[in-house]
Amino acid sequence: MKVLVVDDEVDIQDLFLQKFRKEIKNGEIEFSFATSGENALVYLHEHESEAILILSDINMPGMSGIELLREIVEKNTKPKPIVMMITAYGDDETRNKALSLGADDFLNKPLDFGDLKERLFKR
Amino acid sequence: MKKIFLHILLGLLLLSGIELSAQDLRFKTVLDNPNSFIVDMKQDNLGFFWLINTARGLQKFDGVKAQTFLNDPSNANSIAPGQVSSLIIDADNNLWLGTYGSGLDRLDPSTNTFTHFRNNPKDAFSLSNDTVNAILEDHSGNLWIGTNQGLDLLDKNTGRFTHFSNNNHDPEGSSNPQVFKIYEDRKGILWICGRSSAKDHISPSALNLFDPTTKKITPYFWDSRKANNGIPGTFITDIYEDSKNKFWIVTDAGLYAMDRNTGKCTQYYPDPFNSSTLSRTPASKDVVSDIMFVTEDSSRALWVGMGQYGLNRYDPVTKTSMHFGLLYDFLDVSASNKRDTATGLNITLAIKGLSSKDGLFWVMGIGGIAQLNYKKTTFLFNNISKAALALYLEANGKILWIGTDKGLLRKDLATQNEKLLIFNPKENKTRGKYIHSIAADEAGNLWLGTGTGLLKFDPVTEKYVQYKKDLKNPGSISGNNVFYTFFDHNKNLWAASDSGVSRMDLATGRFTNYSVGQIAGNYKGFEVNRIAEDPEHNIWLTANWGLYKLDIKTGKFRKYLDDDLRSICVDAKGKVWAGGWQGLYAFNKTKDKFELFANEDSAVNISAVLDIIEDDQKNLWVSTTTSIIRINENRTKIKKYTKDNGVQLTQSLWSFSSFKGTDGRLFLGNYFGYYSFRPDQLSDNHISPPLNITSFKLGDKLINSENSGFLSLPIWQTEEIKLRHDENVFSFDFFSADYISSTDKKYSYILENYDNIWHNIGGEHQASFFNIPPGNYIFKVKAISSDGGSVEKSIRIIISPPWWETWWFRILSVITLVMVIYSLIRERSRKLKEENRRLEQNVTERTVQLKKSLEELKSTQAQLIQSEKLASLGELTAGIAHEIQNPLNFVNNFSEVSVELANELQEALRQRGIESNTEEGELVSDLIQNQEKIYYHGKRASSIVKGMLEHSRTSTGEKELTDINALADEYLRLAYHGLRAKDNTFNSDFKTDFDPNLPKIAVIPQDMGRVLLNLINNAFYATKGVKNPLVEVKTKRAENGVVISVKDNGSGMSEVTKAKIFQPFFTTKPTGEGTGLGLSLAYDIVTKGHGGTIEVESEESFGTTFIIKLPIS
Repeated sequence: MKVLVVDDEVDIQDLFLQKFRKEIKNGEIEFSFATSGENALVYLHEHESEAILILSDINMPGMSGIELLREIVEKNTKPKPIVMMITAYGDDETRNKALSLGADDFLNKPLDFGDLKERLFKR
Repeated sequence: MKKIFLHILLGLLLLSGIELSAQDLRFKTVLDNPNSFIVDMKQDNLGFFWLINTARGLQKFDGVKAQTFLNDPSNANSIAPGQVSSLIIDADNNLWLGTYGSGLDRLDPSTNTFTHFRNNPKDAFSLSNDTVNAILEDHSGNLWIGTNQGLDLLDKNTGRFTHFSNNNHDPEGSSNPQVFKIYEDRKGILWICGRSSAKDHISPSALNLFDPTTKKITPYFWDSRKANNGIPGTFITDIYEDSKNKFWIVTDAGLYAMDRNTGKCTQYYPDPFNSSTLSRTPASKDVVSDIMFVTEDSSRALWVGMGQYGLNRYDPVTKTSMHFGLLYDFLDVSASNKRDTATGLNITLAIKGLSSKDGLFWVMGIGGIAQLNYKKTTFLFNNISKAALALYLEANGKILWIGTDKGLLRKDLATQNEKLLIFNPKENKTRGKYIHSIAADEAGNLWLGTGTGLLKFDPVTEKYVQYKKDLKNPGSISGNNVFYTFFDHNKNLWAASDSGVSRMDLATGRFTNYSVGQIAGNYKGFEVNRIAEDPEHNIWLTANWGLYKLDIKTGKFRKYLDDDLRSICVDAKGKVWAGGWQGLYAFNKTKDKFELFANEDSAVNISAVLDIIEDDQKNLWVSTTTSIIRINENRTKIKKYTKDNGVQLTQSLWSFSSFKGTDGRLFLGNYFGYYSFRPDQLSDNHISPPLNITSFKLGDKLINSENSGFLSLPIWQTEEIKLRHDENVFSFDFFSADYISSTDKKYSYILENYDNIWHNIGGEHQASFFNIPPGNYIFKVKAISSDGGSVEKSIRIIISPPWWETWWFRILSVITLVMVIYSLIRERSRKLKEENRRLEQNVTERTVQLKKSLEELKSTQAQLIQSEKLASLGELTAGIAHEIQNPLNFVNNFSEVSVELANELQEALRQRGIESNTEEGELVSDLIQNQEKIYYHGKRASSIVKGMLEHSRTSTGEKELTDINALADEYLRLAYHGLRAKDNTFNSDFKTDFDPNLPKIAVIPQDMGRVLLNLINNAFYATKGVKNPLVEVKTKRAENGVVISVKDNGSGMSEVTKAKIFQPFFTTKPTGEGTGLGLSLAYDIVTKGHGGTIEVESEESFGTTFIIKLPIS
């Protein structure tokens, strides 16, 4: 499974790589990282027609996670990427908006990796 | 041979002795038609001429056009058929026409309707005979008619004729009742002429007198038996009593002066071939017997009409005669159609002469009508067969120097001797002879501007010095084609040339050159043709296409006008004038610009100006290519002299400069010579011609004093016309009897109070108005003649408004309106007073209320400040929390992963045989422990942050109508059981007091539940360790809302605690048990979320009560 993590916090990359060390080693999961919505779009363009799960933060400088989501939905590429949004705790408004725009799932900050792993592998 | 001699003699007389008067006395043909045969002409009160044209009938002539009246058998009001024999215009401006065979006609010129008077054999009071030969209105207004049956007197009121027949027996033969002529002399005696029965003299019955005092007709009787005592001839052609009471009788035998007392006749022999005196031995018997009329003109000169032999004018002052017209000789066929050019008379047979009111003398006959205006100015033109470019009269007034295109001409005005001087013709073939300009210095030298340089010329020795352009000498003149020379106030000479303008210092002979741009050696193209200096010593000059002012100090030019300008003149008042192709300009000093004084479109058009000069009377004389124009001292009147005044036409716009002699004489140059005249001696007593409104039409209908109620007098005497509001389409005809400049006449009109401007209509003489609204107007019409004189005539027009716009209706309406308004105001003010009283009462009441409210407000304000503080603190908290959240997440996540990694590391070590009791094993388990502590405390921090974030959390819950009693009950139980489950020492009791009538109100149940839970939890917490711990939850309906109170009987709080209780992070609980955010959040939910209030009442050791008030909406 290919997962693209979109977050301007670079440290999140180590966290994912350490947390999913075994799965990565076993080739069950493959992480790519983008530090902005724009970069994410470039990545998606380069990996067109691949099944990708996108895990995106909302608040980022430049293109926000919501805008990224809107772009992805509008592009309507096949296969449709699965988009999961990471929202701040208590920000119900953003969450609802993301869902209405077509996000497949959302996760609250702080990330519960156990929960995340479970959800990822459900997909 | 004899005839040729006479012709030569006549020519000599005309040319020498009376040269000037020949120029003054020229006829102008105004109605030129060789087929016209005009036998009589009369001018009516409005100035129109009425003609009996034997070829056409009755004609009305306005100076330009002749309108003919024809018989229309289908129209009873048209002119009677038959030849018109006689014509008079009576005091009421009615025309009376006598006809051959069709009786008497009266024409009302305001309606153009004819009324006929015919003979009726059955009516004794009708006209005696249908052939009317003569009509006369005597001094008392009686109308006398001479018919083939005798003399009739018409009573204008009754239309009845009284007949006077000559019953006197003619001792010399059978009497004839015919009356051919009636004449009233100054004594009021009527002379009634008939046909003579004798063959060589007028028989007694052919000349009768009517004495108005005796009312009797008596024959003018003399003793015919005495030879040569009587009036020779058989027919009386004309009778005229002149201003000296000389009684003239013209018969077919000649011209006689008669002594009325003795009847003695003296014959006069006016002779066209020898006109120097009135009477001399006639050269031809034909002439003597062909006399048609005798009359006087306005200068008291006697005119004798000699039929085909033209006219003689006898001047009683100079006692000389002058002949006018063609010397027609029936025997000499070759000369028969030769027209007289010397006097301009084109009438081939002079039948009648007439002196009109405006002083003009008219002659009519075969060939039309000719007019003589001998009062007009005629300019004497001196033909020198050369263009007079420049003129200079020596101070002695005898020698005139003329600069021409063929050299310098010296003319001795006394001897008329001329001498032509030519300088340097070889230098330039085309312009070598040109003398453009003459200016004299104080020493008497003439400075000539020539085609080949500037010449200093000594008029006595005729020697000259030439100044020419020298390219090597910058102090030489700038150009060789010198157009103008001029002395300024410093006696410096200025010379205008084809290359600019040069100032010469006469002492040194050096020139200072000025040109546009001041570029040395490149003056080409700046052709200056005139120079003038104003009183401020500015130099003005005209150049090709422009007028410039030169600043001598800077040498700079300023351009003022764009026109082909040839002349400048600075008048006595210092005003600068400029003339050019387009018109005449005057300088406006305040505006610093030239303004058009007159051009082609002006009332008196001025264009193609050749030169301007001011005379000693401060008149401005402007010569143009077609006219000479005088502008008076005030510059208000313009008089134009044209070819009628002897002005020559010049085709091209040359530079002709004028000159004023020391004696005031003006000399104006022209193409083939020059004019010379003394402006103060020009005769110029022009009387403004009358201007009249001649007809008035309402719609299409011609209105006169008889057919309507509008006019009680003829329109030309009417001062005011009153019209109804629907009579608002009307027109006027008007006419100015200006026969001197009839073709140049210009009319303009204005309807004051309606038009804003005068309408210039040129030669048209009608003004029409459509749909004029009711009001008072003045119609004004103005006629401007070529000499700039204008006459004005006005008539008031009152168009009354319809009844709904009349003054009385308006006043009535206003009064009614005022009364209605007054009563309304009264009623209103009564109500207002009442209202006022009530208001005052209200105000008093409200003031009391307001005072109370103010006090409340003050306390509320204090609370508001407090709550605002709390709110902002809450927001701040949320902000901080948000910022901390992300780093904290990392701490938590990394610590969590680290625990996992450390566990794996421990497992890996164990698999390598390194147990936990070894050094490495202990280190790893310590690390694990530490990571777990970081994770634990991180989670703790997270939960604080989570609590803080609740403040900023945007609630997803929606307000719904909620039963507060049920809600409170639910959360009370939840808290109670929750606490009991957590803490087995918990032993508080609770009590509820719910208002059963509590209305449902809209709240967010989760949020409000949270608030209640928080308060109830706190309450239970506070009761820990007190006797009979009790928590009471109460609800109560209040005005516009509900009140929920949570009361405990716990420890209570101090005032200090109470003040901080709603601040975030404030807690009295030990560390780790409370975040201090619960009440802060409750505060937010109640106040911000629901618009309610939350208050606390507390007393230490007695307990605390939280009171929530929620509004219904």
